[in-house]
This record gives sequence, C-alpha cells and structure tokens, in this order.
Amino acid sequence: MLGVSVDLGGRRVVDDFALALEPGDLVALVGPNGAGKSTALRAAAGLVKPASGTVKVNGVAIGDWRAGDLAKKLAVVTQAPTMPPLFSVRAMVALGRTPYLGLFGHETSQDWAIVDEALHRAGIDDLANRRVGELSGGERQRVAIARALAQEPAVLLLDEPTASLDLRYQDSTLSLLREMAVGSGLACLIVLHDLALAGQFCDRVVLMSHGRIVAAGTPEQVLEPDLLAEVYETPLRALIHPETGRPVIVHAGPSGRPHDERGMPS
Amino acid sequence: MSEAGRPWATSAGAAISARGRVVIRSRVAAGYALGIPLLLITLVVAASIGPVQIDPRNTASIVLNHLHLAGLSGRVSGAEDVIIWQVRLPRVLTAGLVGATLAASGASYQAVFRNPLADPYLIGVAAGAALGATTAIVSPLPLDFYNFGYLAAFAFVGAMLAVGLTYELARVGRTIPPTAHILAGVAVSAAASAGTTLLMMLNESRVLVVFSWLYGDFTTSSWSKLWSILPYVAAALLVLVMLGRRMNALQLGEDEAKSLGLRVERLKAAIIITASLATAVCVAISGLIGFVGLIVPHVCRMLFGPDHRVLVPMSIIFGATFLIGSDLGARTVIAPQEIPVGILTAAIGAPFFLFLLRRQRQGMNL
Repeated sequence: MLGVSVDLGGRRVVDDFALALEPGDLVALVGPNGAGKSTALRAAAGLVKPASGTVKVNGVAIGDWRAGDLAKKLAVVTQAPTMPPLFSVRAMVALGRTPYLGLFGHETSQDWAIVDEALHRAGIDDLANRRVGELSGGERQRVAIARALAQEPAVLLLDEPTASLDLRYQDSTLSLLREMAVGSGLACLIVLHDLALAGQFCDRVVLMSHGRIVAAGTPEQVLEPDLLAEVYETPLRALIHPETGRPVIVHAGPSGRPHDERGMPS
Repeated sequence: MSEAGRPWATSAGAAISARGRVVIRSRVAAGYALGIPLLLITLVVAASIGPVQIDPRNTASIVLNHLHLAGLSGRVSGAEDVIIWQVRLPRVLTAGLVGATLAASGASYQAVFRNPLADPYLIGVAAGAALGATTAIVSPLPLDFYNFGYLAAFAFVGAMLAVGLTYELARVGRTIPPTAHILAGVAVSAAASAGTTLLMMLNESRVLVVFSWLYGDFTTSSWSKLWSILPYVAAALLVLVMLGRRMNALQLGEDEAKSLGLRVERLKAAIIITASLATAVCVAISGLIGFVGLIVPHVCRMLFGPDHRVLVPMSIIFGATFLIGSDLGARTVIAPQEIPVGILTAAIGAPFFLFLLRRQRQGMNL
C-alpha cells in the first residue's frame, strides 16, 4: 500500500497510509479507538476506495484484479462477522471456497479436504456439525478465521480477531497465524487492541493515531511507553517479558495519574 | 508448532463432520426421491378430479400417450382425452409452474434481502406487477388480455418499481430491517392495489376481466398461454438455481461476501431482477397468489436445511405440488363453484406468516 488516504463522510479517516506486506510477515496494526485502523484494513482489502494512493497485490493495483481472482489471494476476517444462523459450521467454512467453484457451485472432494484442514487448523473440527447460530462469540470468531483459511489466501487481513476470545484462544489464534506465516508464508495484517499480544506475537507493529501512521517497526521500536502514552493519552509503563525480552505494555496504575479502575482518564 | 500449543485441535473431528455431511446428503436425496414422485402423483390426481371424475390410471395413460411414451389404454374415452389434455392438464401444469416460480422467487428474495419473511406478495412485487398488468389491460393501446407479451412487460415494470420503492422506503443506511421491509411492502401493496382498483373503476367495461384474474385464477389456462410463459419462467428458474451457491455467500456480511470475490451489488440486482421477472410473468397469467413464496421455502428449509443449492430446487418441486393441490382445493371445496386460489393460499399462508412473525419476535432463528 502506498500513500493511501480514505475519506468517509467528508472526513479524512486514513491519511497517507503506507505499508508493505511480504510473505511470512505478521504485522500488528494498533492505535486508539477511531485512529482509522479498521478503515485502513478495509482499504487494504479493496472494500473502500481510497481518495488517493494505491493498494497493490502482487504488484497489480487492487482495482485491476478480477474479483474472483483477488479472493484467491486475499482474505478478510471482519470485526463482527455476519453468519447465517442455520448454517452448519462446516457449510459456513466451505463458503471460503466460493472463489474456486464452478458454474453450479458444487464443492469437489478436494474442496472438502481443504475445508476439513481449515477446520482442523482453527481447532473447531468438533464444532463442524453445530449450527452457527448456537455458537459463542469466541467460537464464531474461530469459524470466521477457518472460513478465511479455506480461501487459501496469500494475504490475510484480520480486524480484531481476538476481541471476544479468552486468554487461551487469544494465544491459540495468534499462534495459528504465526504458524501459518512461518510455515506457509502467509502474510497477515492484524488489527489488535491488545498491545501485549501485538508485542509478543508480531514481528512488526504499526501504530496509528488520527488516521496517520505515527510509528512502525519492531515491537521494541514501537511499543515505547512515552510514545504510546501520548498516543493513547494514558500513562503507561513497559515491562520486559522474562523469556522473550520483548516489551509488555501495562497501565501505569493509580500512581500515574487520576483515572478510574478501567484505566480511563477521569 | 506442538500440539500442546493448540489444545483444541482434535483429529476425531474429520470423521464426525463427514458423518454429518452424509446425513444431510441422504436427506436431500430422500427429498428428491419423494418430492418428484409426489409432484407427479399430485399432478395426475388433480387432473383426474373435477365435474367429470376420471380414473387416475386413465389420466396417466392419456398423458403418456400424448407424450408418445405409451399407447392409449383401451378404457379411455374420447371425451376423457379431451377433458384431460385440452382442459385440465394446461390448468394443472400452469398452476404447477406458477407455484414453482413463486416459491423459488420467495426463496431468492429471502436470500437477497436476508429476510426470512420476504415473499413476492408481502414485499409488494406482486401488487406492483398487478398494477402494471391492469394498466396494460385497460390502456387504449391495442392490447388485450390474450396479448401476453405486453401484459408481462407491463407487469415486470410494475414489479420492478414496487421492489425498488419498497427497498427505498424500508432502507436504513445499507441494511433493511426485516419487519420494516414487510411494512413498506404492505404500504406499497396497498397503494398499488388502490391504483388497480381505481383503474378498474375508470374502465367499467373491463372490470370483470381484471377482477376474475386479479385474485388468482387458472380457469383461462390454455396450452398457448402456458407456452407463452414457459421460456421466461424456465430461464428465470434456471438462473435462480445456478445462483444458489452465491446466495449462500450473500448470507455473510457485505464485506465478507465481497472479499469472497462476489460482486455483491451486481449479484443482488441479478437475483432481484430475475425473481421479479418470474413473479411478474406469473402475476400476468394468474393474478395475485400470496404466501406460496413464504410457506414453501420455509417448509423446505425446515426439512432440508438452509443451503440454497438445495433450497431453490426443492422450493420449485414443492411449490409446484403445493399450488396444484391448492388449485384443486379451490375448484372442489364448494364445487360446482370455484373460489380464487389466491384466497385459499392466503387462508393457509396468513396464519403461517403470523406464526413466523411470532417466532422471529421471540428471537428464534428462522
């Protein structure tokens, strides 16, 4: 992506966003609410048209791709995916095969094998025959990821994939993405709220504020308490992870500045 | 990465899901295996019943003979042959074709609007088509009731205007709340019906023609009318069946559907235009027949699940069966008088609609 700007409702939401994703990259996109993270992700997916700048996939401008071919390269997991409640998990994940199907749209046994593999990777093979409408938020999120994996993309864009997951599944989900990045060269751009997750699992962190990238680089470079404190307008501290040596960002606590128990400045 | 890092990964899952797929597949196979013979039996029985009762075996023999599949049984009289082949069969087949089309259109509208209550009748399409067709009938243009092409074209324009108007009235941003959609459909239907009534009043000489057709009527069915709708309807049904898989993907959010390579706007437009064309042709030939597009897809969904690749063809089969049965009811309940078939389907459909509405209010997944 080069110099991408997006206007929504007459307001510039993303300004001059530039990012290169290489195979195997695991990049976290972080920043306060309203910083333009989700919009930047949607621009990267070709879901909003930038006012200026270009998004390229494999060197070809995203608008020049045939929709079906692009879907074989690039998959998106949105923030609160809509799912037809009566569909089984397996049928839902099989929708990821849409760009590969023929005229009448029937899956081949090879398609089903890929679906099963995606279910297995996302750790939801035991949910395969449950109806999507019966699932918890965390289970739905994993279904959405499995659906994206079934698309066999080279680039995966995820908008807060860990938002409704507990600690175990946050870990499993990001471990899975990491495994896919290292093992099969999947390039991931992940919008994350949790700076600790971003620091531990991602190789690169991009920090956005007010529509602009304010810092990009390794977790050590970007997860810098003074910078973050300014961007998030909240006092923060960095601890060092005892094993990885990577920074872990935490609230400064009651001693830093008056704020309520959720860490919101009062 | 070790298995311990993914505590939820099991290997038994593949076997479980494979079994689930087999269950669903065999259900679908049973649906076709029972649905198609049921349709054929209904067809023969419906053709056999009437003022002159004919042995269903004779009916079958007459049909097979005309299809050059078998010689005529010795017990068949010439009168029976005329009654079946010239009178009843066109009517029964037209009812079947209309039922199939309304049900498939209903399933398609439900898919494209992501609204389980959508039905060609309830979202105003049928009333719009009726207004269009009435305009054609009463217009000073050199058209008459049997000049089917004009009638269908006017009905199609009316249907498209109604579907667009309903959509715009009910739209909130880029989504349409299901109940708001139905309310807007009712409002558009009421306005279109008022227009139809007004046209009838202003053109008294045509009142009877319009009136008898408006409330669902197969009495004027003929082979020539059947042939005139068949190409449109067959093409529309084929397109809807082929779009089944894409209708599935449309059930996801707009962004997800787009990221799966669907050109969502184009796809939605294609489905709406196809379903509306099919509905308009049906309205032009048989008037307003409500609720078929609601009842049949719902029952099929309960029986065969939500996959539109199955749902649309099943709706075709069971929609045909349902309307042939309803038409049989309409002409036998108070025989020798007939009641319009639209009144019969409404009598069945309205309570069903209220039941669905209630379930939806209780937050159940339809």
